[in-house]
Amino acid sequence: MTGQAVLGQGVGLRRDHFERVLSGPTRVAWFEVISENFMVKGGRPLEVLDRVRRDYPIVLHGVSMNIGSTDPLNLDYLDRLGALASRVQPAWVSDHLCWTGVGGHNAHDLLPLPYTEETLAHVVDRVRRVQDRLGRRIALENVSSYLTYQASALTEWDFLAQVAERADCGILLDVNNIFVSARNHGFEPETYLAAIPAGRVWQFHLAGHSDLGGYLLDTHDHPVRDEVWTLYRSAVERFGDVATLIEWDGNIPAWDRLEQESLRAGAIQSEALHDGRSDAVGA
Amino acid sequence: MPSAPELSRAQRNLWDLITAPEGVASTGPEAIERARRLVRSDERLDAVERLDIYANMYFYRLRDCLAEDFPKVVAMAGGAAFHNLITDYLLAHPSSCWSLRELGRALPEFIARHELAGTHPFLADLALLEWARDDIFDETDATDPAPLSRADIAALNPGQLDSLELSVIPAFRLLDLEWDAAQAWRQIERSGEAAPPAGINSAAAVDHGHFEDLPPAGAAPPPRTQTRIRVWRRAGRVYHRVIEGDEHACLEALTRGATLARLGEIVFESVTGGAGVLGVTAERARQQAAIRRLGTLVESWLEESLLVRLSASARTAS
Repeated sequence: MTGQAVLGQGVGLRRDHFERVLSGPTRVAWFEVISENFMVKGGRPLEVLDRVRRDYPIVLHGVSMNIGSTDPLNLDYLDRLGALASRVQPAWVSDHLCWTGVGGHNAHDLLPLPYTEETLAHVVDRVRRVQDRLGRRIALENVSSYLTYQASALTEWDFLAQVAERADCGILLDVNNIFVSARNHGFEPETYLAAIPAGRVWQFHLAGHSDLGGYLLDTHDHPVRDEVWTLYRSAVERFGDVATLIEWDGNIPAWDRLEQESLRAGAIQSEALHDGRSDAVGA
Repeated sequence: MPSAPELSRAQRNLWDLITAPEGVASTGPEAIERARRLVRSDERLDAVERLDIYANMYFYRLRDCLAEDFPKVVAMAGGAAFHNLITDYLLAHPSSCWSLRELGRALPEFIARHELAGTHPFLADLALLEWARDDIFDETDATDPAPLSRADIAALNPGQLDSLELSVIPAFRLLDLEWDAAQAWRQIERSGEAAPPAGINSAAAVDHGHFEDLPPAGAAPPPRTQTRIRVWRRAGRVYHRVIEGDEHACLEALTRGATLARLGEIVFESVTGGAGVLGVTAERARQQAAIRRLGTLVESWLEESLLVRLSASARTAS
């Protein structure tokens, strides 16, 4: 068990669906929002977030913590994030195991890290300091990647597992990202799942990707692919009743289509959990 | 000395490679060698190809973000010219904030000095208008103090009115432009050509050719005439309106805090047009005209929830 709330199935709250979500009940159980979009002074976004929060649990998911950078931690950023968390009272706060900029500049991209002992010590120290500053534990997400550094001496899954254990943080396991990176780097996604400590996984992400021939690109603009649903089922079998979120950021569909995708995740999760219990009884 | 020197070197190397304006390979054999020392190649993709995935995503994500913030500049300039503008802009102004929201802050000024201003001299003013609208979208709400209503004003003792210190809501901007950017804005809005060209996501990197094929809107350049505009947010929506010189002068005074008596002086100066000593009858007529004009202005500001009482802290600060 993770010790985190059992939220069920959620979706990312995007501007296209603000009116629909505010207009009445939906069949999703919770929403994840991009923290930075709401780390603002006022206006419509915050008003919508406050109204949605009255009816649903919210998870804050950031893209700019820059946890793996060698730049100093941005304390102003962290304090604004902390203020938003105080306002929203999220189920948890997450960001990505990556770096997004260096030298005071920001790429606004989730750049991979070299998986070395030096990087591990650096990231673990920063996660601890972030958690101290925010006064809460955070979850870190595995990113899709398209390159491996010559210097990498650890696998990504070992690196992620060790960061979580040594910094005492959670894991947001993006199943689509594992699939994308597995194809781009030639590893077995099941190997990745097997290496992740079960008690650390607070949340799953699911999303669509694009096949560009030579590689897969994590585009979040398609339905979840069948192969990723299969991997998700394996993840549920291993990690259990973990909160699951559908990310859909480009070519955003009508609300009903997004809701269907979330319901499909719920059905697969129920089936996998039920089968798992049956196996246990039969064993 | 950074705590992780190898990591620091790797990050600076990777940053240099993926932010090169023409891609990793085009920067020459030395860069290709650096790329191969930094990143592994395999039978699927070479190190340079792998870095180019990130180089493309870096540029196209930021360009698409700016296109969403400045859709009417894109419509006026066309996709190819905007693409080239942003290539130059990102070299001069790489993002230095964690929020993408801030990326376009320096773009209007950059356009004014860019070669694109030679063929589109009004473009910087149009960008200023779009940025002002973007900037107040999530500006601080006017809750403390709340905007003044007609009832608030009516409840005041007439003797208090002249000394009432007023200001404007935070979600308010004033522009004083050389070109009628509002006309250009309206023209493009009516032609429906300013829909955001692409979403902010890496999918844009897959299909970026489409953006560069966007033709200019073909809208006529706006007239070169001093144009004053107020931009404000009310109930979550952003508005702008072209205003007269006296309203601009009053609102400019209000941004710093002003009494109704001071606003009356500003309007009176405008009505008299800077004339010297007036006869008693002419002076009285102009005073009456100034009072009527100020009344009309205050009515419209109250209607649009623009006015707030100047807070004690703002008064101290000024």
